Amino acid sequence: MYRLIDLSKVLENLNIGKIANTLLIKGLNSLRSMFSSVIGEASIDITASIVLETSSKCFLTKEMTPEMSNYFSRIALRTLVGLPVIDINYRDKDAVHKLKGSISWISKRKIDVTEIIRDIRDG
Amino acid sequence: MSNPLSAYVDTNILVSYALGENDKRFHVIEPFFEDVFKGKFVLHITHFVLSEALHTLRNIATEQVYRELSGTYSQSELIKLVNSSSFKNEVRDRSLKAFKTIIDIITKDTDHFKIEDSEKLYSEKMFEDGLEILSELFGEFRIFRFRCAKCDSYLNCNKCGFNSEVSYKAINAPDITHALMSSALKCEYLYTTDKYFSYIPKEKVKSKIIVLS
Repeated sequence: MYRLIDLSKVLENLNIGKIANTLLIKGLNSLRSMFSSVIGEASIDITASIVLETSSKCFLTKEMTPEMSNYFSRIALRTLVGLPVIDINYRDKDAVHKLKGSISWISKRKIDVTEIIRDIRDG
Repeated sequence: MSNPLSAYVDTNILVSYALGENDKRFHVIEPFFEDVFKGKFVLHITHFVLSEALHTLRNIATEQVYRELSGTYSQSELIKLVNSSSFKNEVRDRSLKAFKTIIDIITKDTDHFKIEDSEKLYSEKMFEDGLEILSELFGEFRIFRFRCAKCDSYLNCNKCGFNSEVSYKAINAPDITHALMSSALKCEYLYTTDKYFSYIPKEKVKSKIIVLS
């Protein structure tokens, strides 16, 4: 046999202010532990970029310029592979030449990467 | 100089240039990168291309580490070896080092490389168009001689006597996806070294496809 819940009793026992306060404290503690673990395991640069990127995504979407957006994409990539954050104004105008043969050491013989990728795509 | 043209680069172009003299087609693409350096093109690099590049580097590193093995190994010995942490770490470290090098360079040069915005969304319609293109095309069959993966010697099967295999080669889903992403990003050109891209009907892709060969 089912009994309907007495909503008035529920409301009497609910202290909205107390619940909100508890939730806020839990949220803050969770944030504190999250950031302390990030700071403990990664570099300050990486932590800063995560905080910056997260904050900007939440609060600055409308104000984001294409340059800022491009910068965050670059920083996210660098962070992903463990490279240090660079300044938004950093420019290496000779990067194209630096890319040439930069990973030639990975293969000791001449290979055909087009065929390798063709095979990968063909499964 | 006038505004640079926007060019989507296929994974083979990016990795080949980074491999330099150790890639067979490097000399074909080198002049293109000189044009990039002169400001004729700005290269659009997508996360899709970078994902494929990482996978390719892991393949290359695996082959290289395998080729460096001295002595002979039975299949069971090879299985034991490749499951060891030392083999895995060697392949992972080499490929990650190479990938980091590429990322480090391209993220420092905003004049020649444009990393696509992580907020960019692609529609399901794009993949529907891709399926339509694939369904209208049919590739070709190619015959490959059996070769030793370690020393490249030609081999014959001791049991059936065959020395070659038949393989179906054609434009595939990743190729079409690259081409349609290039269009979605409004790139004027798509540069690749894969001849199969030339089979994509021109009217189906907004970017002009250039196959460097």
